[in-house]
Amino acid sequence: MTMTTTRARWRRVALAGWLVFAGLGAVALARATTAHVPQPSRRLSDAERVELGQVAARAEPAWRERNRRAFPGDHWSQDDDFGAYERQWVLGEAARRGVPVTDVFGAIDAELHSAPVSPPRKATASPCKPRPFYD
Amino acid sequence: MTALASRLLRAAHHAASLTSVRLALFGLVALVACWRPLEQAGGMNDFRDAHLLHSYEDAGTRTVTRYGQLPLWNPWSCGGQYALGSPQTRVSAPTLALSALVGARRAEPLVLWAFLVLGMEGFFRYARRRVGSTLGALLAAPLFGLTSFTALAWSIGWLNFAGFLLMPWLLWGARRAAEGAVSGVAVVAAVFALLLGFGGTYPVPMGALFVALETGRTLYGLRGAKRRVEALWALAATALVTLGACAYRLWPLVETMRSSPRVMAGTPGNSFPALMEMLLQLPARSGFSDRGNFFFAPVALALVLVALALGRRRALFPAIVAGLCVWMAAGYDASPSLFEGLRALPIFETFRYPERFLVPAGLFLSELAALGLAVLLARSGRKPREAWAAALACGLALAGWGVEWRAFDHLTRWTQLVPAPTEHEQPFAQARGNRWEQGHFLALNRGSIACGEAWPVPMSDKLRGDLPQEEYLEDPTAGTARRVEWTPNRVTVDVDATRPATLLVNQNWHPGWKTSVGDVHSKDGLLAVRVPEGRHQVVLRFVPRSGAGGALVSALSWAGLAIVAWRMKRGARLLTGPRATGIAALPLVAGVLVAQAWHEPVATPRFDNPDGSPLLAPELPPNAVPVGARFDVPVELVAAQLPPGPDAEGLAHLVLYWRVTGPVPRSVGIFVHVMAPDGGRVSADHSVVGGTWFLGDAPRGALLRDAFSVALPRPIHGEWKVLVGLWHEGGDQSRVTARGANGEEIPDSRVPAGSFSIPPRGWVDESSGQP
Repeated sequence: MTMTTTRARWRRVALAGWLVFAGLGAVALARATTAHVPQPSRRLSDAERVELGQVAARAEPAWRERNRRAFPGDHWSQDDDFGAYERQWVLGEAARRGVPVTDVFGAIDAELHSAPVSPPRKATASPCKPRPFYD
Repeated sequence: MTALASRLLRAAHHAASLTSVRLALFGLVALVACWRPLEQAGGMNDFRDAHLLHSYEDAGTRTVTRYGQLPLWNPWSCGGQYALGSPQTRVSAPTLALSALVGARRAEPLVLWAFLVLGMEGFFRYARRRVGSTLGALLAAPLFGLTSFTALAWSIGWLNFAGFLLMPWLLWGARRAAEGAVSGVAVVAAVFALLLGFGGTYPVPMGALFVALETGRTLYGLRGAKRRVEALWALAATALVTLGACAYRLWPLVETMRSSPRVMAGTPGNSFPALMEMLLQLPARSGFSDRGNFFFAPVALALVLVALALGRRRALFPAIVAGLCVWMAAGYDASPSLFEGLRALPIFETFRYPERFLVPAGLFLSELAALGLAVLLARSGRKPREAWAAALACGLALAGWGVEWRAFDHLTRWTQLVPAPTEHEQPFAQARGNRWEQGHFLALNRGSIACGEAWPVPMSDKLRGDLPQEEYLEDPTAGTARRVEWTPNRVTVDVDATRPATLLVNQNWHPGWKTSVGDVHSKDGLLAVRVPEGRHQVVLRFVPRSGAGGALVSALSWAGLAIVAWRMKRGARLLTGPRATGIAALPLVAGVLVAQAWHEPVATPRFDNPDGSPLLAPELPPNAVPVGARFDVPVELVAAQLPPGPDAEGLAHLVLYWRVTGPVPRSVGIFVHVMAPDGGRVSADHSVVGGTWFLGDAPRGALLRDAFSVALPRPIHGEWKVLVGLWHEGGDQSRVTARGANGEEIPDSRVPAGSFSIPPRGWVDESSGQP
């Protein structure tokens, strides 16, 4: 086998390598763009939206009281704890009704925007002040 | 048979030296590893950090695709924040183009795939030069590339930590740069710039640390003082070019961090057995645990042992550095603690997870594995009878790939995948939001004021999630304001003012906001514009000096480097020595000139207590009771301000006034004992005053107002005493001797700061007419 033949063969191998690499990239792209995660089929009706917003509003004062006791004097942590309570409730409602989580958060937002909120409810959030300790 | 094996080996070596063949192999390995993430593309990761970090990418993608703007300002997070100044955003990396093309969620696994390929190729290039074997470097590359921390990071939404995979490129580039290769300078500058743009909060400083070690190793390996001096000049030029290339992101970051410093306390540590579990135990298929988070295939350790036994001097550096990494990963559990020493340095002081040093430990273990393979392959070439050992080593490496893929797969299963949020088309407004589920709010075109970042984002406490309109006049009787156009970086409002008025925008102020009418300023942290009387169209634009100036400096650096490379291609001599360093500094000089010529207000840090009250007091309020206690460290407890009793919910809100007059060890913290009438005790210890400063970091001589609250367990009637002192919380936990105003020692070093009382029938006296 001559040197030229060997070189030509390796050149073909190199070309095949690029083609395979491009093909693998294409497979990754195709898989990423065609993957499908099923959505809940039902959406909240307008009436349910209003109802859910009001239920969340009624629950808020009790959550706030627990947050204040869990994190006395630490406003950001209180609000963050409130967020955790609200999240649990929203996920539960969305699962129970078989609707998107976004719809439930949308219902809460619509209720908040329907009229100015007054204490003990809050339409604000304390500025972010991460705790210095994590261990 | 031996001849066949020899031919096969030669062919494998040759194939491994072809970039395309290597990339095809690494592409295949990466595809297998990413199969599950690719299958989940488009879904939403429901982990809280994923919500935060993905929202940044989503916001950047929306800014580009829907508004045709650069992602400079992100109005959807925390009431609005400077996207380039937020350390964890990825929006200034080229990967944003992919997000814009296929959507931010679908782009993520593709980015992961690309980083895995890049990581393996980078490791190959680095290891080939270090161990001198193409095949050895090739076989060891997936041992590093499939490091399970990448999979863990993927599963919890920390895609920016994939940046660790580019560390070998930095080491390879640093060595090439020290040897005088322009390509080395370009690689170091490009990788640091990419990592910064990709939100590499750990990969960048850790990369800098290991680049420093690698340059030391390279300099040590050079013969003769002249070559070393040349290499030092080349490295100085590399550092300056890198600074320039990174300026587009570095300038905004430095500016932001100066106005919002982050305090990281605590003494995190890991025992040696725990570290070994993280490194060598296969991670579980579900649930979160530390086990196997930094998995390195134990079968590949046999190759490491071969390297240690036969690699001699070449094994020394990676073995020592791998050992240093494990020592560092032990954090404060090691004595002495290397991590504690590292944390004394600027930037590194914010490191909070020492175990992340197991990622570079894996890199250097992989280098040792490559060396073990290289040694055995070389010996088999010289002594064909030892070919079986080389074959066995190759088999072990391949087995290592399989085991590491398994660990990778297990960790990617941890992803909490939920359907992507449903889109609602409506005009932008701020919502109260929820940082735990922030991803849903972008789909609603709502900003989430609720913010859970790892640093104190400058935010106004006047932001609201219930406003009928987002742009309004502070005094509603002064006229009207009507939104004309809203985009992330530009807001247009028609104002009709019957007298001079202040237009408020329900977003955070930043010095980068400019207005076409009146003057823009911060109103309690809100974006505000003072407008004169009359009808005006107010156009607010976000044009930050640091973003524009930084981009200019980066562009000049890259242009300069391109010119040098072009001239060299045409046969010109490489610029070396002080001249090259001087030229490399020119873009930075341009940056200084921009900073001088372009005046912009400075965002000053706000130092607040966790209850939002100011941490610095100009003077003692009249109702504060002087204490005047001093300690055997330069700290004075000046006064205390205690309430008459707890509030209706049983919370006692206390304030202590401190003054620090000299250096205080970081180990010193404050203890507070609230003594119940029945002898019980409630503690409110804290080592960081107001959640902001260690005593040692507090401004000297200033009056510190340390406000905190205590939840009392039961309404026990009687007098509750408050005793305060200092102790070596981070050390031997002994108390610091306290002395009264007369210099006498106070018993137990517990200073009486006052008392409050609880009435006989509950937290507050309900019969009293007083509030």
